[in-house]
Amino acid sequence: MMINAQNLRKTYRADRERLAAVDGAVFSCRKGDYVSIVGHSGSGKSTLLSLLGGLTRPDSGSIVIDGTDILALSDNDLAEFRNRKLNFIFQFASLMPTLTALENVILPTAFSPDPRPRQETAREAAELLAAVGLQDKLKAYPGQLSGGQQRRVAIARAFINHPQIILADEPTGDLDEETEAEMIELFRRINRERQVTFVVVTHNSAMAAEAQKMLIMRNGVLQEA
Amino acid sequence: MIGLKGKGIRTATVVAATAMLGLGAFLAMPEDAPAAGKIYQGKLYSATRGGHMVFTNITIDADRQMVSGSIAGRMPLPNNDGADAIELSHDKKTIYYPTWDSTLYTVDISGDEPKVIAEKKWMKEVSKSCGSHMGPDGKLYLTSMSFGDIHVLDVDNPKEAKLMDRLYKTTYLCGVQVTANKDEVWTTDMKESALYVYDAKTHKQKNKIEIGGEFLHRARWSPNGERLYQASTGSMSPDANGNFRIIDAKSKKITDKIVLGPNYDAHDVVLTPDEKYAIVAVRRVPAKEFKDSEYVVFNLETKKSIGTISMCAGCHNANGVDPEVKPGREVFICGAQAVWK
Amino acid sequence: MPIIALALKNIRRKLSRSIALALAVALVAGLLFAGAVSLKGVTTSIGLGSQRLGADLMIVPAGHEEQARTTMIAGRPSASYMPAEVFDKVLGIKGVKRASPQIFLSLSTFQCCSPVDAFLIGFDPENDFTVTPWLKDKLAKPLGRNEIIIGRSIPVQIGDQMIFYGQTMTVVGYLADTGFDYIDHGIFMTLDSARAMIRESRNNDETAAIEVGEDVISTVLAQLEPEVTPERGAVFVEYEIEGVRAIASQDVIGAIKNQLFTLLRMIVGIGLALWLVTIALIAVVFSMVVNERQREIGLLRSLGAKRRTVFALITLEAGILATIGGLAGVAGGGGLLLLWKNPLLAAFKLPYLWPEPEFIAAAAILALLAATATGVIAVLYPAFSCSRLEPYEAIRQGE
Repeated sequence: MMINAQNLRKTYRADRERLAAVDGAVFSCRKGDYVSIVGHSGSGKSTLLSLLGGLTRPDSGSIVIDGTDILALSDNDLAEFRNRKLNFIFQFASLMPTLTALENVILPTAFSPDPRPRQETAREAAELLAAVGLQDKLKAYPGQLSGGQQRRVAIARAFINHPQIILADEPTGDLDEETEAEMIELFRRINRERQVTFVVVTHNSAMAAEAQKMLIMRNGVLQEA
Repeated sequence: MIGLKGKGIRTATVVAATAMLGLGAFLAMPEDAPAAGKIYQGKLYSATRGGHMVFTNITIDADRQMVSGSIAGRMPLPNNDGADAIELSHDKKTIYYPTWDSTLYTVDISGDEPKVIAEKKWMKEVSKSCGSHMGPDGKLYLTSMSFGDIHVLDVDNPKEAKLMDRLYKTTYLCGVQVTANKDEVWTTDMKESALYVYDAKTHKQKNKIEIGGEFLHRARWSPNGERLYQASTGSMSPDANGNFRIIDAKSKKITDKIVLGPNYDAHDVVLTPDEKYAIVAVRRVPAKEFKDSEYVVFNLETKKSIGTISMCAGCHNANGVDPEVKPGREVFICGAQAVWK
Repeated sequence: MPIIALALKNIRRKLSRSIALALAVALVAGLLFAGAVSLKGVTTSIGLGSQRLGADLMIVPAGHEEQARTTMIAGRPSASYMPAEVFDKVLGIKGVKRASPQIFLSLSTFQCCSPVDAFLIGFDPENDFTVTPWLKDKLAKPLGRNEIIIGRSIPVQIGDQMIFYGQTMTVVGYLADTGFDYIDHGIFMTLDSARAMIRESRNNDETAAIEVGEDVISTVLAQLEPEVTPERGAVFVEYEIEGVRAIASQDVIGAIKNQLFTLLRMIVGIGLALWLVTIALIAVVFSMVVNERQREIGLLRSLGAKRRTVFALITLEAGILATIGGLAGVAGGGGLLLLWKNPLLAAFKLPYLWPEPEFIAAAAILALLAATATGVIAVLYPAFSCSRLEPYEAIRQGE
C-alpha cells in the first residue's frame, strides 16, 4: 500500500463544541493509483488531504505511507518526508510573491536533504514550466501572471522533487476549460509514466471521472462513491 | 594645764593633718570623675541631619540603674546643612561641627548657650564628613564619605581652619581615631565593613580588622585609650540590628559585641569617664516610620540597657513639627560627644 | 535557492517599511558608534595631554583656578599673576620633586598666512619638564634670548622670525602634536626673554605695553615624589603658601571624566531607550509581517521546510535588515562626527585626538553587532511562534 490511513479523526473547536472535520475516515491506495475525492464545500475534503500529507496531525487514527508511520515521525523528519515523498497542489494561489516562476518551481529543492546541482534543478524547472505552457514566463513574478498561470506554476512545482504522491486540492479551479483538459492530461501522463500516486480533491466531474477510484466525503465521513 | 595643753596641740595637729589630707585628696580628684553617690550628670551634643546641633542633659543614676534626660536646646546652623560628625576640643570648651558641604563650624560651649565663633570652608567640594577625632597632635581629623579619605585640619585659628593633609584613602570612611601616643591611626570603612590601622609616621597600613556584612559607623577610644568602641548597623540591608563592638587596641582583636536589637542602627558610642556606661547614639529604622533617634544607655558590666532618651520625635512632637524625610535630610542624629560634670 | 536569497527578496518586498526599520536601527548604531568614538577621543587626548604635561600640580593665583582648569582642559592660558617667589616656596614643600615656573603674556593674534591664536609663554628651560620633552628635535644649544620654540599649530618654520611687542624672535624648534591648544598654539621663550619683552613693551612707544610686573609668574608646574598623591601635594602647597591654589591634574581629568561620564550616561540612556523602542518597533512590525505571511509560511512548511528553516528565515531577514541599518548608522555616525567634531568640541571646550584605528574598528564592529543583535532579538518571539505552527494551521489562518 502506498497510503494506508485508518480511523482518522480530526476535530476543531467551534464556539463551545468540537466539530469533527474528519470522522473515522479509512483511506488506502496503491502506488500509481489515481483517487478522487468529491464532496460539498466544508465536508472535510481538504482536512483529509492535509492529514494524508502530514500537514496536520489527527486526534486519532493512523497513517502509513509507503511503509512509514508518519505520525511517529518527529516534526523535522516529517518535513523531510514530505519533501522527499509527496507534494501538494493547493486550491489557493500558492506561490511566493517575491520569487519568479522559475524560482518558485525550484523552491522545494532548497529544503531537500539531498540537494541536487543548481543547474540541473533549474533546467528541470524550466522543462516543467514548458510542460505547463509557461516556457516564456520563467522570469515572471506571480504578480505578473494570471490566476490560471499561477496555478500552472504551482502544478509544475509539485513535480520538481519527483514525488511519489501528489495531493491536489481543486488543482484546476482557476483554469479555463482548454487548460484544464491539458492539466488533466498531464496528470494522467505522469500518473501512468512515473507511477505517481494522485489523490485529487475536486468538484470537477471530468477530473473525478479520470480516477480509478472515487470517494465521497459527507460531513467528515468518507465513503465509496 | 601644760599636759593638757600639750595633748591639745597634738590633737590639733592630728586634726589639721587629717584636714590637710582630706583637702589634698579633694583637690587631687580628677575633674571628670562622676559625682558622688554614683550619679553621672552631663551634657550630650549631637550632630543631626536636620540642620541643627542638639544638646541634651543626661543623668545616669547608677544606684537605681536609671537614665533620665531631656533636650536642653538646639542650635540651627547658619547654612542649615545636615551633619554627621561632631568633635569636642581637648579643653571641652569648643565643639567642632563639620557640615556635609565642608564647612567647619567652631562652636563655643563654655557659656550658657552654644555660640558659633567661626565658620570656614576647608574645601570647595562636598566632602560629607562622617566621623571625627581631635587628635593628640591638636589637629582635627575628619573622614570624608565623598572622597573616602581622612582630612587633617589645622584648627589652631578656627577662623582660618585649614586643610593640611589628605590620606588613608579607602572607599567610604566614617570612623577615625588616633592613638594617644600618636603612633597609629585607626579608620573605619562603612562599605568595606572593616577597620584599618595605619602607622602614623609612614602612613602604611598595618592591620585590617574585617567585620563584613555590616555598615560600620563611628569608633571612639575608651577614656584610657585601651579599647575602641565601634558602632555598627549590624546589617548592610535596611533591616538594622544595631550593635557595638569592643576592640582591644593592643591585640586588635574584638573582645565583645553588644547587640541593641532590630530597628536600632548604632552610629556612635559615648562613654562615661570611668567606662562603666556607654551611651549609644542610635537611629530608629525604618526612618520614615519612626522619625526618631535615641540615646540608649548600656551598663557595660551587665551589658544591659538601662534606659533611653528620645532625641527627635519627642521634641518635634512637643513643638508640633513633623519634618519631611528625604535623602540628605533625614530625621536622625549621628555623631555624639559628652561633657560630664 | 538559499534561504538568504529568500530573506533578501523579502526585505525588498516592502522597501519603504524595510528602510524605516533599518533607519531606526541606524539611529541606535550611529549613536553608539559616534558616542563611543567621541568619548574615547576626548579621554585619550586628555589623558595624553596630561601625561605629556608631566606635571602633577598646576599652582596658580587663588581665584584663578577655574581659568587654570580651562587651561588644562581647553588649553587656553589665562593671564593671571603671582609673585615669582612662589616658585621657590613650592620647591621647599615636602613631597615636591621638581617644579617649573611659567609666565603667560596676554594673548596675541599672530597673522601670517591665516590668523592663528598664539599664546606667549615664558618658561624656565633649566627646570622645565613640561615643554622641552615635546621638542621634535633637541635644540643644538640652550634656548637663548630672542629665541622661541613653537607649538604644532603655528604655521612657521624653524629659522623664521616673528615679531611680538616689537621684539623679533627667531624660531629654533617646534613641538609634537598634542591635541592641547595650550601646547599646540604656544610660543615658548625663556623667562628672561618674556621679562625683557615686558620691559621693552613699556619702553617702545610703537607697541602696546604689557601691563605686567616683572617679578611675577603665572603658574608653577610641579612634579611630586611618587609616594605623595597629587591630592595630598595640592593640600601641602595650599597649606604652606598663602594666596595660591594647587590644581591636581588628576582632579581635572577626574572632573572631565565625571562630566564625560554624565554625558556617557545620557548617551547610554538615550541609546538604551532608543534601542528598546527599536526592538519593540521591529518586534511589532515583524509580528505583523509574520501574520501577513502565515499562508506562505505554511506553504514553505508543506514543501518540506523545517521549523528551524522558517525560524532562520525570519531572524535572517531581521538580522540582515538590522545589519544594513547598523552599517548605515556607523557610516552616518562617523560622517556626522567628522562634520560636527570641531563645533562640538569648541562648544564644550574639549580637546580631541582621534582614537586609535583599532578602537574605531572595534567600536564599529561592536555597533554593528549590537545592531544585528537588535534585529535578531526583536524577532525571536514572532519567529519562534510562527515556526511552531502546524503547516495546515498556518495555511488556514493565512486564509
